[in-house]
Amino acid sequence: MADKPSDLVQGTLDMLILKPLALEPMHGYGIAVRLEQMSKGVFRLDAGSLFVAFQRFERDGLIKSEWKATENSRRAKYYVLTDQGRKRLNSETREWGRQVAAIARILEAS
Amino acid sequence: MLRNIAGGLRSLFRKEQVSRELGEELNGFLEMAAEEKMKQGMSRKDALRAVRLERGSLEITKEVVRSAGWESLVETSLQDLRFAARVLGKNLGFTAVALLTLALGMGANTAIFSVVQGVLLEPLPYREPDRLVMVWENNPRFPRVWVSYPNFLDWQRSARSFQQMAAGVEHGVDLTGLALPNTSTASKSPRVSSARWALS
Repeated sequence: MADKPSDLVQGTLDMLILKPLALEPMHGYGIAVRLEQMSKGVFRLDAGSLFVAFQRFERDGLIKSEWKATENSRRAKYYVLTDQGRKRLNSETREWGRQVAAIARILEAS
Repeated sequence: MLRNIAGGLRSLFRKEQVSRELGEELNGFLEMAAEEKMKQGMSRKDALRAVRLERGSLEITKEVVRSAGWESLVETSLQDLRFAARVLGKNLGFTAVALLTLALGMGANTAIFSVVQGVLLEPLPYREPDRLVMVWENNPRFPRVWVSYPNFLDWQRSARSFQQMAAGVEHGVDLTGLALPNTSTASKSPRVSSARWALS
């Protein structure tokens, strides 16, 4: 973790939070840690943005939640990706790929 | 959409439970983050402090999550209403004056609008009110003076600009009794010629 964590690119938060859930149900802290590890410490989410997103996802039907015991036998709310959430993740990932490719083309042109 | 509404309503009506659940979840989140730091040798106190700085405090985060849903708007509006009611209840004089002003304003507006509606806005109760005109006799001494009936009959027969013509005469009845004689307004309804009915 050389530099301090940077802000997320706007509009990518949803995609980034849904992605770890595509692999397995996770609790909030698990997702935060996973994102930090996968981004090699570039993205560190504060609790506010994370839980506001959970609330929105749950209301939009992208995720479901249930209370379960963690491996350290603590009670935690685990989030599960729904089919609708999987669809959203796929479409956002596709769109993101399109945009990154377009930006790269523009930057390489000069 | 429906799920969104249901989620908001749940937060509104089962506030305690939703808040407790969120509190427990957040607390777990912060505890787990602190434990991680304690494994690296921090004291519990330092760890909790570091987590608060990095991830935000429990209470603030709770507030952030709570105010993100649509139901927080309802909640703050209700709070505002309650506050307004309390303040108004404390200043009864002011409340009375405000209410009276509102009542008078509305009453006057309604009254004026009723008149405007009847006189200006509502079309006349005839089939084609925009093709209706009033014709008068005119002479140098008396502009717009009454028409004599024979003249009217002549007009009716020979005028080509009008499809139909009808005449009316205002006609009051004097009512007498024990008090002073009185021209009854109710009896002032005009007598009209027969074609008048065809116009309506």
